[in-house]
Amino acid sequence: MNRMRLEFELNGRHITTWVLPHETLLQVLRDEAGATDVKYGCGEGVCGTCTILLDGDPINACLTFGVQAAGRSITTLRGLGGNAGKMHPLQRSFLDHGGAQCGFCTPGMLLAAFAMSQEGKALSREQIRDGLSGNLCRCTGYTKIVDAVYSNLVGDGREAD
Amino acid sequence: MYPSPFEYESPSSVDEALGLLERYGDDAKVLAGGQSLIPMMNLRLLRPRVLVDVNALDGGVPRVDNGTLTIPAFTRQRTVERSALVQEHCPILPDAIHYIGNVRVRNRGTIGGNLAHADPSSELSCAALALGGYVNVAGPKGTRSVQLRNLFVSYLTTSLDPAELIMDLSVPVIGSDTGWAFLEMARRAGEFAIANVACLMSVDPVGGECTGVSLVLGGVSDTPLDVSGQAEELLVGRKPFGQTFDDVARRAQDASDPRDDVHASAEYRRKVVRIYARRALELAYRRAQDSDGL
Repeated sequence: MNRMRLEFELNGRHITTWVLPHETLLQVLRDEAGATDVKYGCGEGVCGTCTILLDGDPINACLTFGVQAAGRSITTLRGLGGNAGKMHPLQRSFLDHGGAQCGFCTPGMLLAAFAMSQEGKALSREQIRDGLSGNLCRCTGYTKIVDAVYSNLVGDGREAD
Repeated sequence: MYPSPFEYESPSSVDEALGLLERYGDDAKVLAGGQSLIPMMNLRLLRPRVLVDVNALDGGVPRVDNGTLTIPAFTRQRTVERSALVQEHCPILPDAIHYIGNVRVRNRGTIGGNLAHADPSSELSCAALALGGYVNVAGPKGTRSVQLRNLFVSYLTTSLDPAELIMDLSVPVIGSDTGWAFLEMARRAGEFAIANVACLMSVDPVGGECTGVSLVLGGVSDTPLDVSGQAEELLVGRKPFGQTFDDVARRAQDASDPRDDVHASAEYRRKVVRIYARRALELAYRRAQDSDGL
């Protein structure tokens, strides 16, 4: 079986690598592109842990093959704050509200929340819960996560400069 | 849990895709959204030798012509969920689609892929069947139309030939005298349904009698279960009231034939489908009256 050349953009950086077709995007991002901020949770697409943004839309990295990302733009958690390594206001909000404990679900939660905030609609707590359904957390009980997202969206919701 | 190796083909035209499917036959699976296929591959329930990736094929956008809404098969579920055109002409579809998995799944999952997967609790299949829809299918011998009631044969099984591709879904638009409802019961958000129900009901704007009804049940058989005939017998030509809906719901329950599984017993599913069928009938009727201005 031959490896295929794969090129894509990751958090603004151009990536060139060689992959086998059956390698999932999750595997390629973690093993070939150094994006260990993307975590493996279930492999079935129900937990949201491996959430990444593909051309701005949240998808399950475990349910996409690496080869399907050719020529596309991928954003992971590290891309949220911009390359200067600053924190995005959503991340600050999670810190302020205690929205993370072990942190394993956090990259997925933040990217899901970010995607929601990009829709530009004012959201109620109920709508935030609905939008985050499919991102599972075993530690926090979700309340502080919803607090953090709500505070960010109802606050100013602007992106980091 | 990762998939086993496969040959990867990425055709750039429908003809090329069909040629590949014909060539590989049962060895190949179509990769569209992959949101049902890839989990099964990750769990090693499926180990196709070849994947034919159809994501490069462009089917166009949803459109309405002469009272029919046509949605290309490669359209992402999320696109249909948020489409103003679909919301205006066929609002039961965005409602049903919202229950599919989660937003990530819907960003990749396609209309055609969902129908071709033929899950008996598929929300889209249930709603589209209630609408009386059909799919256009392309194959080595040309294109043909398949009514949805003839598409779903059994559990995860369609009447399609392995070398055929669903090209689009067509459904009639919902008229102004027709109400609709899609309801689903699942214990966790995004889970496979324990039972779901799609209902459309037309009500005469003057007299208030039911002039037509369709009722489809999901999750209680090995395909979406169309009990419209039984609903029509009790409802058409009459002005319905609570007891009528109860009677129809009881018939729906009697027609159901679910299995026991880890999520729910057959008995529980039958109880749930009766309650949800009644609620769907009531809601569709209320919506029909609202749009009639009654």
